[in-house]
Amino acid sequence: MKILIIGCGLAGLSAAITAAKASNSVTVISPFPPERSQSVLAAGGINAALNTKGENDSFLQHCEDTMKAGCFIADEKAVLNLTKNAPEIISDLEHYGTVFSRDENGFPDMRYFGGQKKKRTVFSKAGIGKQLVSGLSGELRRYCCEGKINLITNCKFVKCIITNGVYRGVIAENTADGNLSYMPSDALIVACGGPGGLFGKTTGSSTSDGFAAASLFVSGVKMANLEMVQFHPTAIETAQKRMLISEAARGEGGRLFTIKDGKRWYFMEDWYGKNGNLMPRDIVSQCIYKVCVLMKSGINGQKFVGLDLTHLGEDVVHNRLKEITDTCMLYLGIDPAKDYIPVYPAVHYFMGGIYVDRCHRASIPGIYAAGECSCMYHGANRLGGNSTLSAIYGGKTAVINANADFENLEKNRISKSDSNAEKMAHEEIEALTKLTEASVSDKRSESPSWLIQDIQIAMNLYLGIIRTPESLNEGMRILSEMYLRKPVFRKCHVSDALGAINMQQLGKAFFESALARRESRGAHMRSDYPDTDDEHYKKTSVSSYKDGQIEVHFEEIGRLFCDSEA
Amino acid sequence: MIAKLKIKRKTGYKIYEAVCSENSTVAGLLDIINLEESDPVEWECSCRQNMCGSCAMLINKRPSLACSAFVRNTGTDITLEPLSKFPLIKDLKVDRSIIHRLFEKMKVYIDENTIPNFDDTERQYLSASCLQCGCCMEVCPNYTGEDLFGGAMLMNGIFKTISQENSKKHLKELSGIYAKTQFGICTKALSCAEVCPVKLPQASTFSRLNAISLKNLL
Repeated sequence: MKILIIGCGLAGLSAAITAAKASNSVTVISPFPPERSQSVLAAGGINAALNTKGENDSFLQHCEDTMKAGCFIADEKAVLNLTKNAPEIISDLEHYGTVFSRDENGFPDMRYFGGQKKKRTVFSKAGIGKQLVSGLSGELRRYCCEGKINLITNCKFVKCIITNGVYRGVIAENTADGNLSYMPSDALIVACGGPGGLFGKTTGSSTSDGFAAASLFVSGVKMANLEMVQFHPTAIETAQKRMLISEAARGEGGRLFTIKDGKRWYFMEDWYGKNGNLMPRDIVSQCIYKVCVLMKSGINGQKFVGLDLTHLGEDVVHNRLKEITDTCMLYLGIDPAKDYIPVYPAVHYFMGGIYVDRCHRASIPGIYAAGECSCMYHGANRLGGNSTLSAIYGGKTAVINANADFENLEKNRISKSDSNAEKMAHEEIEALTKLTEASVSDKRSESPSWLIQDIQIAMNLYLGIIRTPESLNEGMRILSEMYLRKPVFRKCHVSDALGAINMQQLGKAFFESALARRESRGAHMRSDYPDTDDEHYKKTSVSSYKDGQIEVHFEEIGRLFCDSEA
Repeated sequence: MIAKLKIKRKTGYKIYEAVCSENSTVAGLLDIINLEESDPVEWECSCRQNMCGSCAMLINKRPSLACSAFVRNTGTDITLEPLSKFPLIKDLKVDRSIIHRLFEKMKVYIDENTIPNFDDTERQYLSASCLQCGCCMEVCPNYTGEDLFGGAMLMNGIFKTISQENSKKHLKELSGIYAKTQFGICTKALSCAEVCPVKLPQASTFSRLNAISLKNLL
């Protein structure tokens, strides 16, 4: 079976290794090698109920915590599979040479993390992502050496070819010379990361541009729960990005405050009691928003509050919270043992994404998706330590199911055979090349980044922490008008030009989904519908695109796109 | 204050100006320039916080990451050039795929399941933290890109693998290639340690690696 994988972060690496083990013919395309992926930024850890701390932990408890954090709109059967398989994933990772921090018995050490009752987060100091990528990319390399995996870097997904409702192959761009080519395969595994590019400055990587997901959406691949965008409560603003200040800061006793009537006001403690600073991510973000925006009480009237660590003493701040100290010293010139850290929430993770069933099948036969680009496992809010786990488990599960589906896919392909797929791909390539033909001297010509920036401004202004009907409608209006602008692009990468066009549609789908879910749940907070409405909305929101129109409806949770399950 | 950037582009050096502060980074300045520039400067970037190695380039002739090069250190006269030991793609973007090829040719992977080795955990962690940005290769007096010698970047990878591998056969093979292609070539100039964005302890890792690999060859 010929498998094509987009992306080489944790989900892509895991998919590639699983496919090589299954003796598939595997090609991985990515603009960059694994070391540049957003996965290396993961700080906290990876969750697995190893139960080595004498706390009577179990995968059932892990599942329960994940479901609860996700406000019960994740597919429970899928989550159960995830948590049941987590210990085996940790053991595989150890075999690949991943370096975990160890406890006194030699087991991978585990720490407490927000929203979980047990010590369940396996960690590598404060750099789990880098260690996981190092382990998995070593294993990938073994298969590359054996000729079982073909890793093509400097290669970017542009568009997929679908005929008669069946996936056939992809058009990819060589990012060095700009050439486009057609790559057919039996199945496509999308592991392209979350669409951070919609918002611009997030805590993530600028390579998570969202272009691949946006292109798939416009090609007819459905999206789910797009309105569920996680804001991490404590990020610092720098000229180049928003950087995460880990939950560990509050775990060690950090206190959030603002200045009111010339005095410090510890609003979280005032509103939620002594442990108020450690409330879940969605609640802390909403409170900081309330202080800074609704009450206009940010420090010096600005849009930030203070995170105070000074009372913890230099030893704790400089040693146990070393990474935080380093980031603040390097990027803000602030020593958190002496001064407070100015923080404000920032877009951190997309719980929603490509609509997949628990076998990771997307809505079009032959396409699978895993990792942050997919809608799996996290429902309305994600627990720390579950993103790394779900990416690795998701990539593996997608490939196992693609193999199980192979016969069906073959039958489907033959009964709906289409010798024109290749011809169509070449026509597409010709059309795509024309997208970027306008010359610099053409006054109407634009750079894709200008358009993307306009989209980002609209997303940040109107799809924030608390959503009002006015803001959502205004966001919709701006993106719709932008679409009518029919841009002409000057010489640039085809993937960027197409990305700029498709991102308007994906952005609109975010607003449509947020408008359609008339309730508040997890990360989705509506000013006009402040309560959770299980009767109507304990469901999956599904967005689809057809002929320029976006449609959103709600489906029962746990739908399968095909009856079988591997 | 105003930063004056002299950037080596496909067509030659071009001068740009950008408003900055002491805490501005070269990455931030490139963003400002590219917003206005009709033919944006190509450069690679991903994490923008010193964790992924994408934005390695020559900043005032020194290999550094643009995301952690601050005006307070570079001054306001800044010259940007692409790394010189890798094939140029465009402007400040180079093709570093030789890194992956070197790892492959040297067979840097684990053949038989690792059994955790607690003596070297700390150093393995550090070696796995290597960004593979190429800064060390750029300054290494011995790295030319023409043979299998890969400098500190490759030696960190080899150290991690040799200290974790369980298969006697692969260990001997790895140690053999290592002795032949790296061990004797590295002249311990240690400029690699000086430029490393994550400050890896290169000298002590090399000596530990030399000791383990010699033992494997006996």
